[in-house]
Amino acid sequence: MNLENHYQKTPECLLEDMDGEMLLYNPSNATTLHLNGPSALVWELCNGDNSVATMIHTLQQAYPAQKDQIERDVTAVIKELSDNEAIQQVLSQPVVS
Amino acid sequence: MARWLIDMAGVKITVRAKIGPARDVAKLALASMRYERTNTTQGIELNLTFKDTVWELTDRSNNLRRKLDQAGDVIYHLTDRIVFHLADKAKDVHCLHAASVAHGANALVVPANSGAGKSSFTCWLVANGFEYLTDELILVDSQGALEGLARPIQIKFHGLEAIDRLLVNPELVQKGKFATALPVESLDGTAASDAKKLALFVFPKYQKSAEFSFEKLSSAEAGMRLMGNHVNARNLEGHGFRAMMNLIRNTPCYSLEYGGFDTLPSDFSSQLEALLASSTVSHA
Repeated sequence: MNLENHYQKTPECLLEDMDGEMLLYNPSNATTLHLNGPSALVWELCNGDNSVATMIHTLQQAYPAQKDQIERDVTAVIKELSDNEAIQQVLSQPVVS
Repeated sequence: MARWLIDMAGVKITVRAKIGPARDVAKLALASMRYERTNTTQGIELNLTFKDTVWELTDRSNNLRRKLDQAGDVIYHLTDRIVFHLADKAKDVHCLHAASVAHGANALVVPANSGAGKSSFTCWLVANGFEYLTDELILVDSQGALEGLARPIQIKFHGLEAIDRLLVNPELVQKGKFATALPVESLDGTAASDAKKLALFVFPKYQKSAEFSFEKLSSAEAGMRLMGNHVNARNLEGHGFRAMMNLIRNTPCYSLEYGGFDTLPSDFSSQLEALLASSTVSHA
């Protein structure tokens, strides 16, 4: 995975807090994802502005004890969200001179 | 010519059958459902005829024509068309691929994919005194009011052996090559005739040799499983997701794993009755 990629949430997705656990439903393909703690954080960070590398760095700063695990977790979550079309890659805009 | 009008969730389906074996099998298929006799076709028409030992089922709305030579298969395919049209057209209620039975005013809903043992478990529940609502499709409104498609319970070939010892009136069973139809009376059971409220979700999983387990599910896990059995989501605002999650939050949810009726505790039906009786679920 290219860590410089940026992702944004698919606008149609619906998020529901189920007694502290998050469920994400994508009406376009009728899939439901259970977002555990790290997954919910990654979902929140997919705002189009953060690169994957930025997300990893942000979470490593917040959870230094799990620093080594975080890159693997973040890329796995990004892949799962992307495979289920819950997030979309933000394509860079061509530079207009 | 006989006609029965099924009107559920605003979807009208007329079953039409010629006097004789076609009408007799249609009557068996619809016996426990809520219907009106009618002289004219309303909505979608499902037509059943019988000639030279073969029934022919026609659903013109889908250009479907099926020739069948066993009563159990006729019942399966006829009621399957009703299930299909309800799931396809219902807009005001949530249609769940689920069985349901009740004790008193409170109902237990058993959502599951095909092969999870839903119909076999339904037979066991009915044989243990629960009132029958459906083995396939339950309609739920946002207040938790239920209406089931009370077709005869359908058991596929591989499930028949387990059901055999539950039968009290085996002569009522309608055999088929694909599915065998069990009227609730064959299990000495009764179909629900009054209004029922959702009080409990049980998500079953039958697995040969599995040990019995019956555990409370988190709302998130139950929500995941329920959405996988929501069959008319595309007809509803926001795919009915938030309304379904509200139902889940307000309803006790359990997972059940079992490896056959012998693995169920002897007091399991009493446990379920107690859970239903103690339910204080409010979906308002």
